[in-house]
Amino acid sequence: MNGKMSQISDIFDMNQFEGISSSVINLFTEIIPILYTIAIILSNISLILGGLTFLFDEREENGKKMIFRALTIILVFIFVFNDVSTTSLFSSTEYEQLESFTSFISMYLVFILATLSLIFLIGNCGLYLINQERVYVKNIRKSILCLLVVILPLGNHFPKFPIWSV
Amino acid sequence: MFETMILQIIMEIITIFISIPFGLVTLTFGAIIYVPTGIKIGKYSIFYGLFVLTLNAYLI
Repeated sequence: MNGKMSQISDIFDMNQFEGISSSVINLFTEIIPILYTIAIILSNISLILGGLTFLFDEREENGKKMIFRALTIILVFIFVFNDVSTTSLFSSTEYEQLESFTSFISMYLVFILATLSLIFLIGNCGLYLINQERVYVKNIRKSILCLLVVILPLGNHFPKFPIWSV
Repeated sequence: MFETMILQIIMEIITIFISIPFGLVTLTFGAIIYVPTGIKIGKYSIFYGLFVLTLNAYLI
């Protein structure tokens, strides 16, 4: 048994293997956070633009598509990268800075859409109380959907995706 | 004993070198492509990335 173990460690030089694997992992840990940051910022900008076109456009189809694309990306990323910062793969300080930067930008952008849709909701409720037309009901429905879209990713109770258990 | 160690090393190599990095790169790159334009390649690459990551999580 001991002979076989020593054979294995002779065949696979463990130090060399660990060196190669750590260099590959370092390469991907430098690529993946940058791609993650770009994707999160792009999806937040797309969420804001889609929300604005959805609120202020008459036909509302493009805005709805943009909102749902961005929302699916944000939810998938929350689901996959949920406990990224606590793992050893992404424990460098640069990644923490990137993460705080992305969360700041995304919160700022999301805050704009939330404020706008809240103002839109209150204004359309007032207009509907004064003058009861169907357009105002439609606008109220739109602004409620925008608020839901903004509020939905903020919850902290998503299930963890078990890729990091290696 | 020997076979299980070999199998474990192969699984480790697949996990570290192939499934996690390429799955994550495919997922994020697909997201970057899919969000602004909405073309099908981005959607399929997101699906493939998630598929590889789930296979990695539940089989290996």
